[in-house]
Amino acid sequence: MTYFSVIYLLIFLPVVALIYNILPQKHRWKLLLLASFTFFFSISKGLIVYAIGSTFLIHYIGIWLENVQEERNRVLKEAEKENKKKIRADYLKKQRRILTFGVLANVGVLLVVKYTGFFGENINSLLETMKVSFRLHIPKILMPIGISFYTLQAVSYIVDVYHEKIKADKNLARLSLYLTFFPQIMEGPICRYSETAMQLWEGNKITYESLKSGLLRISYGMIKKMIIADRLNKFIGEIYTHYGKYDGGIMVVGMVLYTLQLYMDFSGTMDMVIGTSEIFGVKLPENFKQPFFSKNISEFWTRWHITLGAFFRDYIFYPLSLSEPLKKLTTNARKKIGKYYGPLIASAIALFCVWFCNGLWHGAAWTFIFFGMYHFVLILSGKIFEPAVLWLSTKLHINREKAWYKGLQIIKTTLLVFIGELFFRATSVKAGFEMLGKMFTNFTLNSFKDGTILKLGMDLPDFIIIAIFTVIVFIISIMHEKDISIRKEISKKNIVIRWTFYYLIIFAIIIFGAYGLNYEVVQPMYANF
Amino acid sequence: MEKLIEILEEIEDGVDYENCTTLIDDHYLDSLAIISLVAELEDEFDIVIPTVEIIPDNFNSAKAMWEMITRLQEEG
Amino acid sequence: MKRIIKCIIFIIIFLIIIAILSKIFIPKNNTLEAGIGKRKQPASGILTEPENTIDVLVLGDSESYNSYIPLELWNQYGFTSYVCGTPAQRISNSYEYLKSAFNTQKPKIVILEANNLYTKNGVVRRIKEYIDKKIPAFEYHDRWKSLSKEDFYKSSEYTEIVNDKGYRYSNKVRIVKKSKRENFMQVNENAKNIPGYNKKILKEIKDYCDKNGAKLILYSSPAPANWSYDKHNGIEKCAKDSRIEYIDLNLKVDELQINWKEDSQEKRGEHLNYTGALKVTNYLGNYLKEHNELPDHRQDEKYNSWNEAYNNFQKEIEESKKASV
Repeated sequence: MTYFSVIYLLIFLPVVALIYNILPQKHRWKLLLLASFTFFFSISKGLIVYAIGSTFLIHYIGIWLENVQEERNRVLKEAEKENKKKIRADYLKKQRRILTFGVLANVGVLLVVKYTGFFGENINSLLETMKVSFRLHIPKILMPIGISFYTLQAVSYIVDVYHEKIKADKNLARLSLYLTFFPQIMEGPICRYSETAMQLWEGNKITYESLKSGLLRISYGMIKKMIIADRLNKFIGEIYTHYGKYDGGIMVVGMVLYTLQLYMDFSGTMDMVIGTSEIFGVKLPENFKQPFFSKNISEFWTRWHITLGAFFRDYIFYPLSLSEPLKKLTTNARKKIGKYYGPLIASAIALFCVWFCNGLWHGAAWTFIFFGMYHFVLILSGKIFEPAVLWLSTKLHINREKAWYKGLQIIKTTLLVFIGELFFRATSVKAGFEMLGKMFTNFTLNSFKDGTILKLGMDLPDFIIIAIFTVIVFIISIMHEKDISIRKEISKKNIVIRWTFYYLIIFAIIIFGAYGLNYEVVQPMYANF
Repeated sequence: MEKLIEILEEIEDGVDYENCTTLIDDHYLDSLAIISLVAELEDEFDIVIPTVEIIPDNFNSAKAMWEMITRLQEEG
Repeated sequence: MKRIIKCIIFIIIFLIIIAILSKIFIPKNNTLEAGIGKRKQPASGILTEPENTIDVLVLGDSESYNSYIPLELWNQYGFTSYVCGTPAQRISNSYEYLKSAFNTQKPKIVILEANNLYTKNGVVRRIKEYIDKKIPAFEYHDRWKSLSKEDFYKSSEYTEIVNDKGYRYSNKVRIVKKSKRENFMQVNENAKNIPGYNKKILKEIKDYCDKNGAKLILYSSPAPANWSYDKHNGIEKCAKDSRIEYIDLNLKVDELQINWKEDSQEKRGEHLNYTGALKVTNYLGNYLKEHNELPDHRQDEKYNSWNEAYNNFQKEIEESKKASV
C-alpha cells in the first residue's frame, strides 16, 4: 500500500476519515494510531517491532531526562549559591550520558539495519585487494518502512527534552502517534514533537472546508506525481542503466529530466502527505518552497527537503560548531585570520559532518556520499569566494539587486543541482562521471534528429504532456512565490468556474496519469532512503 | 543596539536591519552567517550563547537579537 | 443538507462525464491500432472466429498461451482450438472469457491451465476489476494519444481475425538455473490449499461447461518457477473431488523430453518458448485425440482459412529465426 495506490486513496483513507468523524473526539487518536499501525504493518509486517521498540525507548529516555532535571531543580533550590555551578555541571553530565545512550541506541539501530550490507561489502572488497582470504559474512537485514524518518524524529524528541525545549511526554500512545502517523511515516516530512504531537492528539473534526482544501492539495500532488514523475520513470531508468548506449545530448536530457522527476515525485508526495493531514486538521511543516528559485546552493537546501536540512542544521551543525573545542578554534582563528575566515573553519568542519551524514542518510552507497560531499564543497567554496565575488562585482559596477543578476544566480544554482542529482541517481560514481563527461566529449543532437530519444520509453505525446504540466506547475510555483493561494482564489469564484476547475483536475489525472497496465508500478522514490 | 547593527552589516551587507523581521525566514542570514555572528556577539558583548538559543525567534530581527543579548548579559 | 445535495450532483456530473469518456476511449476494434492493447489482443480473436468453428477452448494465464499451439494441432489432427489466455489472468477472467466465447462458439472441450487457481484475488483486486469493467475509461485512459475522429461517434465492433489463435510465439532462450530445475517436483504428501474464492469460481466454470455440454480439463504446463508438488497435490485433490480430469506436465518433464537449456524463456523457468511449447502441445494433442472424439476439418472447405493461418504461422517462425540469427 503506497500513498498513490487505489487501495490507499479509495479505500484506506476514506474508511479512516469516515470512522474518524463518527467517533467522539476523545477517541479519535486511537483510530489514527490504529490506522498508522495498520499502514505500517501492511508494508513492513513484523518489522513494526522496530518502531514500537523505538517508541518505548524514547518514552523512557524522555521521562528519565525529565526526572533528572526535576531532581536538579529541587537540589538547586536548597543549595548554597556557591555550590550551584557545580550542581548544574554534575547534573548536566548525567543528562548527557542519558542523551548519548538514547541517541546512540536509536541511530545505532538505523546504522545496523541500513548500512550493514554496505560496510560489509566494502570491507570485503578491501580484504580482497589486500589479498586476505577471510571474508565477512554479511547478514541480510530487512529495513522497516520509514526508519530513516522516524529515527530522526525520535532523536529530535529526546534532544529537545534534554534542552528543556519541551516536556517529556508521559503518554506512550501520543508519542507513538507522533512517530508513526501514517501519512508521513514513509517519506516525511520530518516533524518536531512541538509541531505535531498535540495536533495529532486533539482529534479535530474533519470539516467540509478541511476536506475540500486537503483534497485539492492531494490532487495537486497527484498531478505532479502521476502525470509527470511516473511518466518519466521508464525513460529515466533506461538512460541511467544503459548510459553507455547513448550520446551526450541524451545525457543532458536525462540529467535535467531526472531532477524534474525527483522533484515532482517527492514534492508531489509531500502535497499528498500534507493534504491528507490537513483533512484531519493537522498542519504538518512544509518540505518544499519553490526550490528552483534559489540563488545559491545553501538557499536551495532551505527550500528543498526543508525538514531534513533543518534537522541537520539544528541537531548537527549548530551543536557541533558551537561545541567547546570548535568554539575555541573559532576564537583563535578569528584573531589570526580575521573575522570572516576565522569562524569559517569551525563551520567547515561542522558542515563536513552535516553533508557526510546527509549523503549517508540518503542511502548506503558511494553515490550518496559523493552527493553529500559535492554539496559540502559547493557550499563551502561559495562561502570562501563570497568576498572575492563581492569585490569583483563592485569593481565591475554590477548591481547585485538587478533582476538579470539574480536570474543568472538562479540558473547557475539550478545547473549545479542538476549535476548533483545526476550523481544521486547514477548507478555508481564512475557512471556519474562518465555520463557527465559524455555531455562534453560526445555532445550531438543526432538522437533528436533520428528519433532515438522517442524510443527510450516515452513517445512524443508523453513529452508534450510533461512539458504542458511542468509549465502549469511552474506557473503555480511563481504564484506561490508571490504568496498567492490558488485554493483561496478559486473558492472566491462562482460555482460554475469552481466546478469546472475541479473536473479539469480530476479528469486530467484520470486521462493523463501514468497508471495502469502500460506503466510499471513506480516504487516511492524517497521511501527507501 | 548600534553596535549590533554594525556587526550585522559587516556579516551581510545591504539588508535593512532596523526593520527586517524575517532575517532567518527569508534567508538573509544562513547558518554559516549565524556562526560568524555568534562568535562576533560573544566576543563583543562578553556573553556565551548556548545552542538552545539558536532558534529563528532569536535571530529573525535585530530587536530580537538585542533582547537575547541583554537577557544573556543579565543571566551571566 | 445543501452540501450533501451539492456533493451528490457533483458525483452525478462526474459519472456522466466518465461514462461519455468511456464511450470515446473504448477501442473500436480488436486491433492494436485501435488500442485494444497487447495484453488482450491475441485472446480477443475468439470473438471474430466464424460461429461454431472452435472445438477446443483454452483458458488461463501466461502459462496457457506460452504452451498450447492451436495451429500445430490443426496441422496434425485437424481440430480447431483457441487460446483465450491473457497475462496474469484471474480465474474470474477465465470464467468471463468462457462465457463470452460460448456466445458464438460451442467447444466440446474446455481446457484450463491450473496455475491461476493459486493466484490470490483479494477484495481490493476484485473491486478494482469491477470498476475497470464498469468504467473502461480507466483501463483505456492512455488512448488520448491515439484518438481519431471515429472514436467519438462509432460504437465498438470487433472484426480482426487473429492468425495465431491466441498462442504467443516466443523464441527467447535462457538456460534455467540448476537450483530451479533440479528436484523442483520433490514428492511429498502436502497439498497446498486453493483459495476458497477460486474454488468457488472453478465450480461455476465446471457447472457452466456441464450445462453447455463441454468437458472441462485442467492441465499444468511445466514451470519450475511456480510449480511444486504441494500445488500438484492441491489441484489433484480438488480435481478429483469435482470429477475433472487433470494433467500435470510438471511430472512428465522427462517423458516430454523438456530440455531446460533450450526450452525456457527465463532463467527462473517460468514460461516455455516455442520449442518447449511444441513438446507440450504434442503431448496434449495426442491425449485429447485419444480420449475424446474430435473432428478432422482439414478437408473441409469451410476451414480453408486455418490452412492459410498455419502457413502464415510457419512463415512468422522462419522470419523470426532469421532475425535472431
